[in-house]
Amino acid sequence: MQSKEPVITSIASGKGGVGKTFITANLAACLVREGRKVLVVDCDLGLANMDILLGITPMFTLQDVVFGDQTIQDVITSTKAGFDLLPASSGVKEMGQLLYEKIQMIKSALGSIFPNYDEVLLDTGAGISEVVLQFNLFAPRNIIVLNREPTSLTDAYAVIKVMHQRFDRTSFGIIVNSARDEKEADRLFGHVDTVCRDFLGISLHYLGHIVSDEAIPRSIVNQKVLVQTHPNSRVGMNCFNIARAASNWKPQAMATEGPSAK
Amino acid sequence: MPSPKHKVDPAVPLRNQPTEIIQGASISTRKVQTLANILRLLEKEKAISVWLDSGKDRNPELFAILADELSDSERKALTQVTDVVVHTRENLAKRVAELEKENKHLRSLSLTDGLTGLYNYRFFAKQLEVEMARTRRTGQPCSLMMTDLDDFKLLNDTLGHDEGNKYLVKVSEVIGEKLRPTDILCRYGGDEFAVIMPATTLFDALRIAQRLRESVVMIPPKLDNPFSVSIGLAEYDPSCGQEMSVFVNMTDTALYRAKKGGKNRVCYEGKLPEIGKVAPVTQDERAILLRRDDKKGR
Repeated sequence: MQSKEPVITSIASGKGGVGKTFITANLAACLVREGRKVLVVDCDLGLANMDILLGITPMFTLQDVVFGDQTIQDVITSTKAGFDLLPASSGVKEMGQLLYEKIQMIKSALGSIFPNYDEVLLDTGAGISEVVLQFNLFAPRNIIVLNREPTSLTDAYAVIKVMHQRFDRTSFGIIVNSARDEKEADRLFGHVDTVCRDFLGISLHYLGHIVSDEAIPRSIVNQKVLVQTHPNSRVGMNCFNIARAASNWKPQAMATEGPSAK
Repeated sequence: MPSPKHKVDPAVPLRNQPTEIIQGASISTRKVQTLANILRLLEKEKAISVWLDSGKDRNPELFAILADELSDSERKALTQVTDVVVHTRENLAKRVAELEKENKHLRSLSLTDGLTGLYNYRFFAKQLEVEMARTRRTGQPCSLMMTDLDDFKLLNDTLGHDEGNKYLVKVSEVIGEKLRPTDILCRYGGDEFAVIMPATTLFDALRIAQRLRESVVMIPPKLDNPFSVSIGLAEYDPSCGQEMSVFVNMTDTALYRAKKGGKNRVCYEGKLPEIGKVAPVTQDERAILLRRDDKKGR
């Protein structure tokens, strides 16, 4: 069952190191298990690491599309977790500072392969550089990952605020990572939600939390996708719940610029 | 010292040594011998006084000869053995005047300012067009800065134009040091400098402008009050069209506001982008985000 318009979701965090890439990979694997055809795009240009997390060594990367003569189809690689990956290069400074023109080029190249998929997940980089914002703008659905660290909370809010003020985005999905328990996750979400209501006049959509668990660093070290190896673990269940909530989430206002606009 | 990237050597003025700039031409060594012999002969007869700047080189390219008292026929004779043209003093003065005029014209065609060595208005206008076109094509931002020295007239009137000029050069050096290699510093005219800042948002330009303003205040003062500049800023908005004057006027308006608002300040036209770098999270927002009181949660 293939629809022409895939569901495109970006995963952002503001602060780096809060588990954005881990969550993207595991959500993708969850969606695969639900029978969806999934593409993950590593948009963390310059400091890409999705390939490392999955233990694969891509032959080509997005960089070869932008600066070389590979087509985007050549670069896409399949993964053991069942989804396709469009890897990016790590440590390539120019990729982190792509010009507007190149971003547009990547966007239109992505648009050409999207019809092959049901779901596209964009793993965007940390920070709020123009490149990061442009990829988040490209996805009609924006998920923000945060954890209990103060800098994560403020940076996550910074992303929401910028996306709202610059691009009129009014709907964001929130995932709380590394929570001690459900109560703490609820509380952290509450803080961010309150600020968004009071200062931006928008409310957030809570997609769920992932508990802090030894199993997570272990899966990362072993370069395995946790929901595949341990679907019934605590973290695994958390991931499935989030995937379900994300599937049911329909952001109201599809604001500016989706991929359908070429 | 100003960084060399902003400096271009001003054209070398030719007027300093008029006796040396009689038209020269290449001449073979053999001919030099012949010429030298003739000149020696003529000199012996005290018919002329000669400056021969043939140099110590084997193949002299430029000769300088002044032959006041050479008769027309002698001059003609010289022309036949060499392609060096010998002028009378009167002739020479005329030629120098011509060269001066030509020089002046060439300077006006050149792209640099004689006093500061910075790019001049002509270059500025050309380059700004280029950068604006680049912004329209690539979407990368471009900002423009105009600076105007505060109370420059007072300095000129009090200490004279020489001091005024010295100060202009000093400021151009100080500003040059604070800019990045990609910024283009120009002398816009009088005591106004313009800086084209490619790939620079208004926000970044603002930070740099503040740095410039502070560094000018640090210049050791010559009058009672410290030196200062007023700065206007704007970022090019392609939706406002291709007219350079619109962009320049916008920047000028900001500069006018800076002057009007009491000098020694930076003003800008347009809206600062709501980007994260602008510290988008306010203190109030942060307080709620980071509070520990659970009960007020949601």
